[in-house]
Amino acid sequence: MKEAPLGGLAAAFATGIWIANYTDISFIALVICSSSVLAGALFLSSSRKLSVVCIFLAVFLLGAAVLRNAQRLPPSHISNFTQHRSENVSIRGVVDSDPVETKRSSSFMLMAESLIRDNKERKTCGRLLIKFFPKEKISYGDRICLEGNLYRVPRFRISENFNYRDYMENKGIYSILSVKKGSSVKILEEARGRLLRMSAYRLRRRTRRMIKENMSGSSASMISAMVLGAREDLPERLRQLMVRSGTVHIIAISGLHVGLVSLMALIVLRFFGIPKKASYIITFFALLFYCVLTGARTPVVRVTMMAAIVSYGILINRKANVFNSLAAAALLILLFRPSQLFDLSFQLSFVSVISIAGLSPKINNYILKSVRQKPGAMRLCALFSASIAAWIGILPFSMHYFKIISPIAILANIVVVPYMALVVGTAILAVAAGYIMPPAAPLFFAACELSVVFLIKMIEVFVSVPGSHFYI
Amino acid sequence: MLDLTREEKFVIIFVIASLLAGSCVTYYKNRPGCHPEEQGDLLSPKDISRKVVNINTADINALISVKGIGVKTAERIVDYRQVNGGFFSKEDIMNIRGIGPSKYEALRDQISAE
Repeated sequence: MKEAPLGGLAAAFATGIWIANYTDISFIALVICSSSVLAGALFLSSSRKLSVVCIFLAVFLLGAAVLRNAQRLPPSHISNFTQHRSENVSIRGVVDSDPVETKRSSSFMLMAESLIRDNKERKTCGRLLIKFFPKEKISYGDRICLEGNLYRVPRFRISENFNYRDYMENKGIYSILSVKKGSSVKILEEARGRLLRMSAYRLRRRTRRMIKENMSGSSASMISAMVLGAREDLPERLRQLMVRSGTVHIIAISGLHVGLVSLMALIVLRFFGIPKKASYIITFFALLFYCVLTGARTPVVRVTMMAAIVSYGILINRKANVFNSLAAAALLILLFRPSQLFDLSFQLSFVSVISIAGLSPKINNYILKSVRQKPGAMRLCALFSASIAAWIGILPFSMHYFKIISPIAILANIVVVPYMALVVGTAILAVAAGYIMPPAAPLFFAACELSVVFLIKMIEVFVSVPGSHFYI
Repeated sequence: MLDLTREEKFVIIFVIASLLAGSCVTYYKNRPGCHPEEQGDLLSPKDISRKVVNINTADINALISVKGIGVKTAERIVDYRQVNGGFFSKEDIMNIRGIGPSKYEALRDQISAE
């Protein structure tokens, strides 16, 4: 606790959010209580224990207040204009995400500006999901006007404890607009979005196209998922293989991917003789760009924030503490998006790191007492400890949400996780070659495809082991 | 001679190994008598035995074969396609009168929306 003071504060904040979700205490009451307790902490500052208790209590109440505030949508929010039954409306707004294209249709998020119903225009706000059959080329940042059927996000269960409407509402989406085939989308203004996001999305589209041109269907979709976080084209069969083997985390951009990108950036900068501290700053901006490139999902945001905190620590000559950095990342994410606490991706991302960082050293020390301390055996023990620690941490979530237990995950991850470094490394190398040395790119992509095929064949072998997984 | 660190040596070895592996794969793929159609997708299954009805292209007979869809619902699905152009995703079938969330959960493994 002395080395990770933010851990307690993050836990108090998260608990406040959790409790507020299941109670009905008003925002005003929470703010008054939090302010009073904070004032109490100030007056009781001479008493160390009491003031600390008051600070934690104030943070707990603040967490509850932040959630209550985030749940309160403005009167002009698009969800307040969405009927329970589908109705035909026109909406004007700005494209707020990179359009995702399937074979026939496309979808994207729209930041609504106005709604036209019965020839009356009303100002509105908030994000909604747009589904349409693309006739026009639409990009992030375009200001558009479109007509379609507006309806609430349907409530159906993806699994027993996983509801689609709750999942979308946690992301701030309450409404969907389906544009009929043949209806036109009017582009009123092009490219009004942020420059960083526009550049990242353009690069992402170009990279996906390059991957598809150089690799076969399933391999291309695996690499797009592992390197760019683009999982739309991933065949369901491959996804199920990874769920059953407990290795589905490899398609979530996280620490390994960010670590590899950092390593490559640092090596390139060192090659050009850039000083160490400047290298860390430039690498951080490269990671920030990679975070936006991959869609800024919770795990990569977490890792990027932790990398920023650790880099800052290096710059000011302070030792990094993983729990403190993790807690800081959690606090920052929850401060701006408290509903993320209920997002499965957020939960898995943080729980896995906590269990690996907390349990793995203990398991490792326990095992090392009984094995000969040779370098090879020690490395294997470290991998086994990390794998079992992560499995223990994730187990309650996989049982609760997916009703599956995969004992094979412990062994599978010992093999798959280190091998994944090879796959991601060859993929990044192939993409880099595609931009810097296009004639050599097909060779690197062929090596990448070979590594992906071996990865999937390995996972198939693990899944075929009797008792590898069972549903509850 | 070349003052390379351990990481730099590792990166150079990795790049050379990738080039060699990629060359071998490309050489194998371009062997005489091998047609592009034969190369295919090594990761896709040879046969997909699970029967799934595409709600964007299936006729009324194919739609009725889905357990839970009767004649009236099948007709409504075809009408919806004609008016709206099709279904963006499987979940959009809930826009059809008579198909709510619980019915969708029963149908979803039998349908697709490609």
